[in-house]
Amino acid sequence: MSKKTLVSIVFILPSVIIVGIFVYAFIVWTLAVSFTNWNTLLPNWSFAGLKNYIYLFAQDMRFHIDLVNNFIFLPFFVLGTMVLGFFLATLLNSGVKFESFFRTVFLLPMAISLVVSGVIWIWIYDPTNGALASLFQILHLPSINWLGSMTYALPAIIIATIWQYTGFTTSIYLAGLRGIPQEIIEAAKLDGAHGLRLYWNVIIPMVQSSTVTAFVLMVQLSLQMFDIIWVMTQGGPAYATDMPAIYMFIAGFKQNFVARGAAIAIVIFALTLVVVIPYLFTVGKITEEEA
Amino acid sequence: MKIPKKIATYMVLIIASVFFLFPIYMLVVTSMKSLQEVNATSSWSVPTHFDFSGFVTAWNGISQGFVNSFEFTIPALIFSVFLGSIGGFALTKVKFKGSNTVFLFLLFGMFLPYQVVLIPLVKFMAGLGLYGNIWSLIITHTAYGIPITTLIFRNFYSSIPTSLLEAGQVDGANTLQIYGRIIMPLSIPGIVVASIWQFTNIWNNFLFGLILGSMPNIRPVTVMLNNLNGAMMAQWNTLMAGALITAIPTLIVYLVAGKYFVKGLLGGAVKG
Repeated sequence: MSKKTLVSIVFILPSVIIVGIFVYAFIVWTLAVSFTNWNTLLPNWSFAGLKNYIYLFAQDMRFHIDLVNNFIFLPFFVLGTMVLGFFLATLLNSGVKFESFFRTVFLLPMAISLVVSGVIWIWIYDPTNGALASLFQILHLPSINWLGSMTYALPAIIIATIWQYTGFTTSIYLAGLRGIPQEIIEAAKLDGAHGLRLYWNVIIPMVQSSTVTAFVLMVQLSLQMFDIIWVMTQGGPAYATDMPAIYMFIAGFKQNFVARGAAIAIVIFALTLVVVIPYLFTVGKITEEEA
Repeated sequence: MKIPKKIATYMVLIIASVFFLFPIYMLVVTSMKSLQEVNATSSWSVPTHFDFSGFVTAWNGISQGFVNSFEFTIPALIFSVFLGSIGGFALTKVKFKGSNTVFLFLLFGMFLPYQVVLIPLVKFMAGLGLYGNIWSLIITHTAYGIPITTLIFRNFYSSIPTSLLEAGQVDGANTLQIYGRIIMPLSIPGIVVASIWQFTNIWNNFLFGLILGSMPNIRPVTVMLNNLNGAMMAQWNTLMAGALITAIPTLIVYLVAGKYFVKGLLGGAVKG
């Protein structure tokens, strides 16, 4: 083995070992626990087969509600952040003044903790004194308890998360738009592509890799959404905002249903793999071509 | 025709700015009000007289967390940035057989839903005797920071021409010397980007703190803010003061070094 190879192994080995333990070994550990009867305070490694999964999918109403909530949340959050992000990036890229000011403002929520955002949004939604309540009072509309309502709690949280993450998709799209060679746009315009057709036929296809990246990131965030929901509603009222990640925490850490919590975690993980694995394959191909 | 379009663009950008800034505005004005002034008729308005009692109460509630967060954020930031830089260097400049596979092996960690590691994480830390110790948070944040820092440095080193390195090799320098003499000085921008990203990420984290921070002596500020939220129902001036205190370190970093923050953000949005 050459000295060069040896040094590169020394450089990469610590990371490989740490990630090997904290990511891969832990996933296997969780998978193993999900097949046990460890639904008690003390560890119980007796084999339970698929019992925990069967319970979740066949019997557990809470888990069914969680999946429905997650699949309502996901399209609104993903489409909301992506459409708004693309739209704002397009405006920022149109040669406006104060572009860096607007960019800084849009991305500001990404710099603060979801706990901070959650607390601010609870205040905005407060039914007696909050900002929305004030607005409704001025308009002589009846006050609504947004976060206490079965109807409005989930949309209220979706708005807060779109507020938090739209700056992220805006930045991804802005980088994508900046990467389109100006000649291509000019050529398309000469060919008579204008307005919406220019976007549909030229610009949107040209930012496809931004779209894929934003999509994968936003879907993956939706599937593991926890912090802001935990802070704002803890999944309530009556599971109206409950998600698998919330239930996983409750089952695994509050109720000592450790094996059930592990099974929920594995379901979240499996759903994430559906978008991440194809993505990593394309990234793998790109890096191989570069090499 | 040209001018109205421009005006419409600015109008939309301003409306969007109001949407993004309005919660921050509510945060700041409410934190500086007395509780009497926090009511439906004046919740939008700026304080008529400044009252900082909310900050005093909030600080008493979360100051320990504020200190704790620094105590694990800084070491975890240093460790993860260091490991990311040597790893990223190995992956780009001293390519070895299987380096692409190793890259994907590490990259996968970026998309990990943390739920799938939480139970083993707690048992593992307890097994090491580190549960309730600040090192549990330092190690955890270092470990889960490695994928993103490695990616940031890999993309960063890819942009440094290899010709700069070959000059060193000709003079008989070995890889370690190349790293220390040539790469390190050239890495400053990468280190800044990765550090800012990691600082923001680790400081803002909630889930690991919730799982591992059972003792007040290591509990992060984000977890303490959430507890304050439970304990101070409807004391909006205190809660907003607490939220502002929690947000200030990352807000300052963002406002001072936003350019690098965006680079970290996009450095993580894989270019391949």
